[in-house]
Amino acid sequence: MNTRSIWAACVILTLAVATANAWDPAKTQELDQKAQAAKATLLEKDPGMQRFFDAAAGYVIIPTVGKGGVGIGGAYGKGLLYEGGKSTAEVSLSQLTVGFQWGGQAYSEFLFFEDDAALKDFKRGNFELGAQVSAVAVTVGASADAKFNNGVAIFTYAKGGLMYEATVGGQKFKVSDK
Amino acid sequence: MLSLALVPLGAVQAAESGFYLGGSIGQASFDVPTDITEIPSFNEDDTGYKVFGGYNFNIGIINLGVEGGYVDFGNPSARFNTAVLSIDADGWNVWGIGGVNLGPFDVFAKVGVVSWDASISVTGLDPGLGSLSDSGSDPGYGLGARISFGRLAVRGEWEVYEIEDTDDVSMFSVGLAWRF
Repeated sequence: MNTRSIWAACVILTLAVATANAWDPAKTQELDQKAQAAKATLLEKDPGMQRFFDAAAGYVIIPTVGKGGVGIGGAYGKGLLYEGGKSTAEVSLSQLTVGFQWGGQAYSEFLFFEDDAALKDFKRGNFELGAQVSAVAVTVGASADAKFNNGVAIFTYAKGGLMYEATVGGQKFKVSDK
Repeated sequence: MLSLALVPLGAVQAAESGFYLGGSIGQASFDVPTDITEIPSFNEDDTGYKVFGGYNFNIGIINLGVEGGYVDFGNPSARFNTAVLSIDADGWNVWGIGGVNLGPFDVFAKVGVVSWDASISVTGLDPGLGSLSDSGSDPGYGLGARISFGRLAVRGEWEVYEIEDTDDVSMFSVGLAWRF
């Protein structure tokens, strides 16, 4: 193989790797549609939640967090970070879980950041919720007494009509800029 | 056996009534189902120990007792490629014990409750899963045998803990107990 062929192979390999890691507009658009649907459902359950969307410096919508069904497992989800009403980054959630669940669990999760400092802290990467952090399970009027705690407010609602409080302590978030 | 050689031993005899304190060391086994693709199973052992105290009521050939203690199940871990799942667990337990004297030996069975704490961590995955703490109270049971030399008893036992969300948590141990 001559030098020119080696360079050509390197260029093709580099392009292939770049393509594999590139932001996929189609996937992001699909995620955005799911996030907007989750937001609509949230506001339908409790219209008072609008004040958090209006007041927050930024928010994350993860349309579906799926939790394993048995023993020691993981909960995973992908969502988007919104600033000024526009999506600015992809967010992935992961969490160690334990406990048997019939058929697993699925819920939507919303994180609101009170100010730029809290948002900046989240965007810095490797954001992790402390074990003592809890989320508000959204029902009618749930937002009335809800407050920011250390600059973050977290809400969940179960999918499929089941009612339970999702445990969010220990969740880890990874932020990937678009 | 070294311990036995260092204490004044009485003749081999059946268990008698009285308070006792002791300690054991052995192998703790964990079989826990997992729902993590990279870690398909967790069936691991580690060295554990326990310290205990109780009272034995000897009525003829029958022994009835109550016992409480602390158990440390060790820190078993499993590695699959880069992924490592570790469990660090301990607990406090209370047992009701019943048994019979069979010549110099006595055998016993016990049922009780363990109040446990566990730290579970998964490392080496991307995205990372981190760690969590869990606790609870669950039933347990066990079988054992002991032989007494005066106030000193040597015992071996097998305990099973029906801990929630696990398939099996058990411990086989041998130890010494001193009757006061």
